[in-house]
Amino acid sequence: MAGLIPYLALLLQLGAAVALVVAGCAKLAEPSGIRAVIHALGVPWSSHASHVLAATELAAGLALILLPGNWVTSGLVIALALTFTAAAGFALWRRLQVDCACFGSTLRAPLGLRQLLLAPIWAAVAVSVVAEPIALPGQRLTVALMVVSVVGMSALFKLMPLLFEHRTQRRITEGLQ
Amino acid sequence: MALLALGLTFVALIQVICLFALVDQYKSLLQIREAMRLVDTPNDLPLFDLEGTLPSSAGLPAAIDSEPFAVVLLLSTRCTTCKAVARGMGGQVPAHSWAVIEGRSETECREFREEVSLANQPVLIDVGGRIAERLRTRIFPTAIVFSNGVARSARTIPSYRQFRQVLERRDQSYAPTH
Repeated sequence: MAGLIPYLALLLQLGAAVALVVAGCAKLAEPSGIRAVIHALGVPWSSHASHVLAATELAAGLALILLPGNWVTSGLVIALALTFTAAAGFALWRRLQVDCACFGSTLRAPLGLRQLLLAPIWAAVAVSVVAEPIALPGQRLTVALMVVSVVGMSALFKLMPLLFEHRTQRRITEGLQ
Repeated sequence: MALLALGLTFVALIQVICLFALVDQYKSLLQIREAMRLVDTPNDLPLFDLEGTLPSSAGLPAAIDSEPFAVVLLLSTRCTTCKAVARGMGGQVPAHSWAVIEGRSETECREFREEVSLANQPVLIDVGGRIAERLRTRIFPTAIVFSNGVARSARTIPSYRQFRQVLERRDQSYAPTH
């Protein structure tokens, strides 16, 4: 069982890295969703705050791969976990019906219980960063590039059906003219 | 080497952000189309009192009376979507379907047939809309599905794609049972 822990930590950290890179990229690409959430929570300068949040997520995602065993990485993850938990707690307390816009406007879910339930997982990621630094073979930058490429491929998969639908609708609209 | 990998990671990140932006742009386009009602959505139409009326008595070919699955596509010379749907057939009326062209005169219907490349196809000409009237159709293009002479469903056809989907329903809903 003890032998499994490093693998579990690796899986957890890589999973968290992918999730954070996706979330950061999606928010930077289309910040209006998260801006609306931040505004609904009553946080001032929602526009700047949305960019800071997205950049922090992206930085934390990359740090999980590039800076294992580092307190900065752990700190970034804890800061994000606290932000998510505070936002979810506030939304539940004030009974706010807002979308979390966690992954931009492509994947939406209500802000609240889900984020609270995920808090222990974020804490586990943050602890594992310093307790079980991932021992990845070879260059870490190459791994980071691979993670970004995987995220890029997932975006392409999302894009393809939309592109086909768009082409079909465009042909139909052309036919109507 | 490390600098190159760092640079590549940065470039890849920018590209991923652009891809996400593109996904969002297409989603927004679909949203706009939906809001403007430009989306390719068919609507079911009530069959009114078509029950009990044999297709042949409405002026359609007698073969439809005994067909287990027959789709009658009603087109009008005055409707632009009808042209797009007819052109989508690629010069051939699909199997199990009958096209009816409604128009004010025979010349108008003939011109429509030529324009949509169906001049050599067995298409019914409905001068003055008598067949359409008997089938209680006022919206064009409309597809009516008959099974053994009984009208099963009717729906608007906003595109050839939707017409194909009606034809494809044959395997799901009207497959003969043994």
